[in-house]
Formats: sequence, C-alpha cells, structure tokens
Amino acid sequence: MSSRQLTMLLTLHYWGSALLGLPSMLIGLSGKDAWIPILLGMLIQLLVIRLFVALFTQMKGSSLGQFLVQTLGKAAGKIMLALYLFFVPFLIFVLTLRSLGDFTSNDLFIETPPSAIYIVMLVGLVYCLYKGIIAVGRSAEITFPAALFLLFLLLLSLVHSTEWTSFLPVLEHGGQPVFQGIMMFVGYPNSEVALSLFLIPLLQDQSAYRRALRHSTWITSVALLLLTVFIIAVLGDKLPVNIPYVSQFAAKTVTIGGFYERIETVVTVLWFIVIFYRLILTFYISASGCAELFGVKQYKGLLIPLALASVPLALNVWDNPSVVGELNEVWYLNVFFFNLLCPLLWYVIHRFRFRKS
Amino acid sequence: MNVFLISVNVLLWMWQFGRYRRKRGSLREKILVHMLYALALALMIILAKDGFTPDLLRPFIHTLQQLKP
Repeated sequence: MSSRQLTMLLTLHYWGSALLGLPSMLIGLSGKDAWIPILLGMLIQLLVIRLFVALFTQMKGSSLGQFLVQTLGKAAGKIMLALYLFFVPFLIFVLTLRSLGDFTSNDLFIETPPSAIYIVMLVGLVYCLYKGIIAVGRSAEITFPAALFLLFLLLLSLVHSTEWTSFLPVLEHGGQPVFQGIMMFVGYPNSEVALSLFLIPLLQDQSAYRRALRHSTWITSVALLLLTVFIIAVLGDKLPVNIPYVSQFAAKTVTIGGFYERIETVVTVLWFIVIFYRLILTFYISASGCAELFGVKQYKGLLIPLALASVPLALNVWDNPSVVGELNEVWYLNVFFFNLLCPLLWYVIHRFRFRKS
Repeated sequence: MNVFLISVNVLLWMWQFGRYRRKRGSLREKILVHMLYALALALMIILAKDGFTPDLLRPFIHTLQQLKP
C-alpha cells in the first residue's frame, strides 16, 4: 500500500461519522470556541504520531500480533491482542453499523428495518474485503476526491448564511471547556491512528508511514475545523448541541434564491462514502486480527460469519440513540487507554526488553 | 426479518461446509469458522426470541462512568 493510499484511507476513516456528529459534540463541550480544540488537538496529534512512527521502527514490518507476542510474551501478547480487537476495532465497527442504522431509519428509510440496511452494507464490505485491503486502498484514491468535492460543495453552500459575529467573545467561559474539547478531539477521532498499526505489514518504509499519518491528521483536522466553524457561523452555539446530525441540519437550512436547496443530499452521499471506509477498515482489522489471534493464515473465511454476528449485536447495543450522549461522555477513557496508553506501554516495554538482551 | 437472517446464516454455513469438504486446509481455521457461524446463528436465534435486553452497551458505559475522574 502506498503512502497516498494510506493517507486517503485513514482520512476517510476519521471522517466517517465524525463529519456528521463531531461538530455538535464539540460545540456541546466548548461552545462557540469549538474551533480551538480542533486546532490544538491537531498539534497534539502531530506529536502523538511520533510514538506510532517509533513503534513502526520497533515492529520491523511484522504484524501487531507478532509484535505483541514478541514484546509481552505469548500469553500476555495474545490476551492484549484479543482485548484490543474487541474493545477498539470490533466495537467501533458495531457502533458505526448501529449509527448507520439510526441515521437511515430516522432520516432516509423510515419504514425499512435497520437489519436490511446492515445486510446491504455488509454485502458490500465482505465483497470489497474478498478483493483485498490493497484493492480497498486503491478504491480510496477514487472516492477520496469525490468526498473532498462534496465537502467543499457543502462548505460553499453554507457561506451564504454565515454570521461571523457568532464567535465573539472568544474564551468567554475560560479555558476549561476548551480543555474538555481537546480531550474529546484527541480521543475521537484522532486516537484511532492506533488502528494504522495493523496496516504496517502492508507498508514499505517508515517515511511513507510517517507521511501518511501526518497528512491524514492535518487533512482531517482542517476539514473538521472548517465544518465546525461554518456550523457555528450558520447556527450559532446553542442550537447544534441538541441536534445529533448537525451537518445535515445545517445543510437543510441552505436556500439561495428559492432554487438552490436540498443540499442535505450532498451530506448524505458524503456520509455514506466515509462511513463505508470507516466500516471497512475496522472490519478488516477485526477479521485479520481475529485470524492472527487464532493462528489462521487467511482472514477471508472469517468475513461472512463475523458480518453475520455483527447484525444482532448492532441491533441491540442500545435501546435508543440517547445512549450515544452518555457514551460520548466516557468514550475517551476507552480510547485513551487502548489507543494511547497501551501503545506507549508496548513501546517502553519493547525498548527495555531488547536493550537488556 | 429474523427468519430471513436465520435462513441466510444457515444457507451460508451449509455452503461453507461444502467448501471445506472439498478443500484441504488447516483444522484450526475450519473450527474457528464453524464456531463463528454457530455464534452468529445463536445470536440470531436469541434475537428472534427477544432474548436480548436491547442495551448491551450499558455495562460497558457503567464501567467507564465508574472510572471517570
């Protein structure tokens, strides 16, 4: 996989679900200063990337499972891999699938059972992964420009109704809300950079990996920054807090000259593209990680049963979407532990163990 | 919908049985794949019988809330 393909794949993965829901979460925490956590979070992320590049060097092209067994020992390495797979990629996969169901059954296909939507999506995912993750990386080169174009179209459509005084006064409530926003943004979606560790065997050199992480970070952050700024400028800082799919709501407000309307379709298409890549990356990592955990060479045989098992789980993760609010308040603890603290520990342990020997 | 899901699961599992009978491969892979199909089928049957409390994430959220400083 080339650096460009990884950049695009990671960017589409970060954008998935964040484009639709992240602005309202950040505005809920930091109010009209929600743009500051994105800027500062991007800078922190550029520092965090150094840890993952250092891990790339330690891994020497081996898979994360092999690296964990080498670093922590066979039993501890396998347990760590199992916990990581369940609590990060598989959980994100199931939750994203559920978000897709909630969004479509609320806004698009109200009469269609969510399980039908899941099956359609899962058929596409299984087919793509049967073709291989490299093919998915190549497809990202085609869909990324389309997603970028749709995002710019959305932003340009919002310019008409912006009110730039909505940002004043800056830091009205002090630094605490901004700090909370930074914590949230570093946790979701930025800390998911740890998932790229599973793609290391597909990459050729360290500089390609570093470039991909850096570029995906700034492209994601700039896009989310612009989107959040435009949403605050259009809707203010009070209304977005109560709207889960705020980007779509903002697009619904666009009406220019009585004929340029229904821009929310752009958001829907864009969201379907990015959510597909979010699902495909987490599904690939879940299946390939599971194969590695049990010492199976090919992950492709696991795709269909894993996809089938995810349907009842996605249907039952929560009884109504209001639980998402509760989950968002504590989600950063899960991802901080698995995506930042654990990689740091792996790095330190590996360094000490192999310095001694 | 539940009947459809269970039927799809059973049909795909039968197809997988057929594939593995013809193919020589690792026993571990076969066991893992069949276990995953069995797990998926069990989950779907529980779903069909309304056996799930549709709030599977609650214990996870509760644990994280306890850990929150």
